[in-house]
Amino acid sequence: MFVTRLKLPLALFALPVLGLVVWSLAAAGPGQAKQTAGDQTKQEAAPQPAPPAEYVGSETCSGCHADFAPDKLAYHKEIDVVKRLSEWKGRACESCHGPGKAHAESADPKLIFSFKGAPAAKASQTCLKCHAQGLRSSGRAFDAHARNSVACGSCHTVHAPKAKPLLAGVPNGLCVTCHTNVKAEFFRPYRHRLVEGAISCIDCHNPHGSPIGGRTTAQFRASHGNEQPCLKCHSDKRGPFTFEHVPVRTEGCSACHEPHGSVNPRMLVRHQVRFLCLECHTTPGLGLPAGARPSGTAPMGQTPPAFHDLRSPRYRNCTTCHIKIHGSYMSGIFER
Amino acid sequence: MKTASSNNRVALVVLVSALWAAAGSAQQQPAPAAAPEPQQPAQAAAAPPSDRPVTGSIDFGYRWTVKEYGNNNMYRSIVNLGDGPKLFDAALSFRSLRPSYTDRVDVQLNSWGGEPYSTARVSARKEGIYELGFVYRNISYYNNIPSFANPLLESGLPSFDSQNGYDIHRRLFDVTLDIFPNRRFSPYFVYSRSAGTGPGLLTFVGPGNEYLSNRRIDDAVNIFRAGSHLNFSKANFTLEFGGSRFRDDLRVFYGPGGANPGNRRTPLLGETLRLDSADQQYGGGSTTFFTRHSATLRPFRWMDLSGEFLFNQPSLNATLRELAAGNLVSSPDLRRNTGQTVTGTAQALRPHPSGTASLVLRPLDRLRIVQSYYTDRFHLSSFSALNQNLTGVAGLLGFVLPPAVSEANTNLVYFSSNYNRYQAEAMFDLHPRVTVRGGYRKIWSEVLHGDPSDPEAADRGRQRQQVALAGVDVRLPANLTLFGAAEVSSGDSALVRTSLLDYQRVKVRGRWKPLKWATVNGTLALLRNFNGRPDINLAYRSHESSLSLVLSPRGGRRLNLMLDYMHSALASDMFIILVPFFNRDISRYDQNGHQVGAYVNLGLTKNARFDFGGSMVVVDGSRPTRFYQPQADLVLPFRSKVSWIAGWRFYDFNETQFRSEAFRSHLFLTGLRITM
Repeated sequence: MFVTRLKLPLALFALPVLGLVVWSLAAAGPGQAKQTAGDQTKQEAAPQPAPPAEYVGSETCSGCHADFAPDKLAYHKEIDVVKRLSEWKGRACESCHGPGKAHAESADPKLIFSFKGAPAAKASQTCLKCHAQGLRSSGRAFDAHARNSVACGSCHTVHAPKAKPLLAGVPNGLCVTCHTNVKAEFFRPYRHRLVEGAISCIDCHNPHGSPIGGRTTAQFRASHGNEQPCLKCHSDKRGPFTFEHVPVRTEGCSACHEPHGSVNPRMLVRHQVRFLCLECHTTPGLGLPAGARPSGTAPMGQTPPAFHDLRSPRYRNCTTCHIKIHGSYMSGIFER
Repeated sequence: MKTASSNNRVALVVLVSALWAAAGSAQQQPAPAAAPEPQQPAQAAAAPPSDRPVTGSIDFGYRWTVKEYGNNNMYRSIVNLGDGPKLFDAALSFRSLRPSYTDRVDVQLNSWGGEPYSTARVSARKEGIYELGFVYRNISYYNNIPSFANPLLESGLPSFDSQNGYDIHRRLFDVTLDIFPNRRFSPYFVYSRSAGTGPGLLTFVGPGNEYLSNRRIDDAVNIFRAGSHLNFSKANFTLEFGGSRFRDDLRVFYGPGGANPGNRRTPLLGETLRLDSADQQYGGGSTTFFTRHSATLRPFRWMDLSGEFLFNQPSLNATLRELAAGNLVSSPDLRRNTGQTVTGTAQALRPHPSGTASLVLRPLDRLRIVQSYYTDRFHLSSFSALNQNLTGVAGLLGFVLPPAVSEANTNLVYFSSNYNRYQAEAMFDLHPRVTVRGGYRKIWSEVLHGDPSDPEAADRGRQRQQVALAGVDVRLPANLTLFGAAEVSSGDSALVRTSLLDYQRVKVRGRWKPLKWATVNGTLALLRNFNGRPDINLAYRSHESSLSLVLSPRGGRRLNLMLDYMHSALASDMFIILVPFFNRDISRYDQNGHQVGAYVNLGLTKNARFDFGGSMVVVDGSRPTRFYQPQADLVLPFRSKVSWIAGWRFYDFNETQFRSEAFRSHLFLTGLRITM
């Protein structure tokens, strides 16, 4: 059984690797020589330098912009010193702002690309010429930041970062400058320990967009490949269980929990457990007004049996019996 | 349920002594250093490089709590800060002034010394060669809310322990190594571990009764993943492969400690049930392999293609061993017995592929068209077998039964989900300062859950949803930015009764920076969801509006002011069926809350600061709650690199419906800040 299980993941891993090797070999062939031709198409697609005559070099830039000299930058000074970026050596400023000769000669700010005031999409495209590693950019189609014109520079700053990686502020503080409502949710008594520093927004969310949140609007950071981030810490809820509780898998944890903060114990979305359960576990069609018929496909869930006499406190506390409500190895009704 | 271990405190004292000694040597250096911002140790890590090998600060001291009144279980469930010597914060950067294996090492420590959430972060890097990150978190989860899962208290009996409580420590450990051998190939390796251990309370559930028992949580998962970014001129790839191993050795046990009458205090068919002893031991083990591959291609300047393929396949092997003695009944035939032995085994396999494909077209400079498709599918095949042996079988209501009975039953379960989402959106720059967007999203999914041998009885769900999308982003002069987004959905069917179906969602965000040192942010979020099926009649309405103001004149050297306010209102009602008479009722939930945060940082002198403020939560509705958390901190330097720190925290929690769970507590701290 172990070998059978192993085959599929290995194949899934090996096939792209093989394809990549073939592609790399092809790319390293004659096509590689064309990269240095500097044609306009390639310049947009990758950070290839324009003809040297249009560049003035970082030293010239530093003459006026001394505070932003490459050697004072936290990370982008690597452009000058790292071998793998040698083609930009001495032109770190222009690797982002474009050729600066016209600007240097005229001091006209309109003659050089400035991130300040540039349309968000255009500014981000400039960063993505280098920073397009798959996991950062492949989720951008799903990224609420990109869709809402929040440029890279809204959170990152090259010239005066306050935290890694090139952040304009400490991560949680930076997020709540826009997500003010989420900040207030963390004031509530039952909450994840974000304010106390135990976790960070980016432990759960991927600010660069992620398809994992495809079932919700949140941009989740994946755990175990493509599972919800909650399961990285709450690993006992992940399963697989012999008996899964359907909405845990299909609706996600937020079907029952408020992940940021709640006034209800266990961060539940209802004040008492029984209402949380009964809102789903009510047989479709039952209780319809006389003559009414259910339309469309009925939702999932069933009515509790009649011996669950809700007048008794025993039955009003559903999870004292259904103790394995997230999923059970042995009991279809989550009792053990 | 015990408090923090003394070992941590001893270690802390040793650590603080060593740091004090280090600070003493650091004081010999004449170069002055600026005090770091309070509560923001990360800033030290990103401080501009200096010519000193060690920079940063360490805050340590002693804290004690003064409880005015209240429920200690609630205090620990919500706050859980205790007395004793503490290392509050440390942020240190070590720079190598000579060529070395590392350019820089950053160390951050937060909340050590028996604290409920201790963290350590260490990172080392050599420019252009590698980056190594290490994160350790020890998070204490204490939860024993007397009114939660406590039918005895609800019945009027003096039971002040939740029947679902725990006091565990979850230790999380992450190591990440990124290597940069060349510009095209950058591999990375990640190891993560999450382990939870500790005692708790849980019920031992038997037929007809459930008995408050002890539990021992012991689970751990080890995750390893490795991959590489492959960067080319027109394409980027990431290939990742990983695996995890999980074990779950939960134990629920009771006795010997006398007869446990359980939650049922009335006879069942003439028998008074009791539990004398129980021991339920689980042995769950799961192994997973997962892959994650992504590709981004830019074949033309006007086109981006990207996609991700993700797959994970967890498998389960679990066992159960259960012994119980008392006056019990068996399931499902309600045989009275004096002893039960249950053994069980279970297996499950859940392959879970998901993938995305997206296409971004820029046919014009001002127009972007984004299309994406996302699919997420899994199916679970599982099997379990239970064997139950009963001793002392006597039958109920006078029926005579054999003295020992053995029964076995097996279960097969099939559960599949096929979720798909397609979205197309166009974004157009009407003006360099105005972008509008509009689009369409379609969601369709199917779920099947049941016994494969009885497909007619399977529970089926179907989701069909069409959503119209619109948005506008406006960047006005005077640093005023506005974002607006709206979604309007029309659904045919939902998977569960509370799912989004016919909904309207509106979000508006604004930011105004009238001065370089003043920022105003505002958010408005509305969501209305309806399901008009006559047997559901769901009407959900939520509204959140928030406003924040940040003032930092002169770079915040003398004054920082942060004000946050949010008003949240939520109302939901839907039809439910109440057993045992199956009469229709309405489940109503209301929440009307005001959350306020206000913090002021005052710079008294060059290194002296006084910070004060706090937060306030006032919520009315289904669970009226008040929670106040004012605080004040003082930093007074008395030597060039040593400051006295003092702080006060106050927690006041009360709920109108559960007044016995209220608490009020003061925390005082004093200590030293050493700056290097």
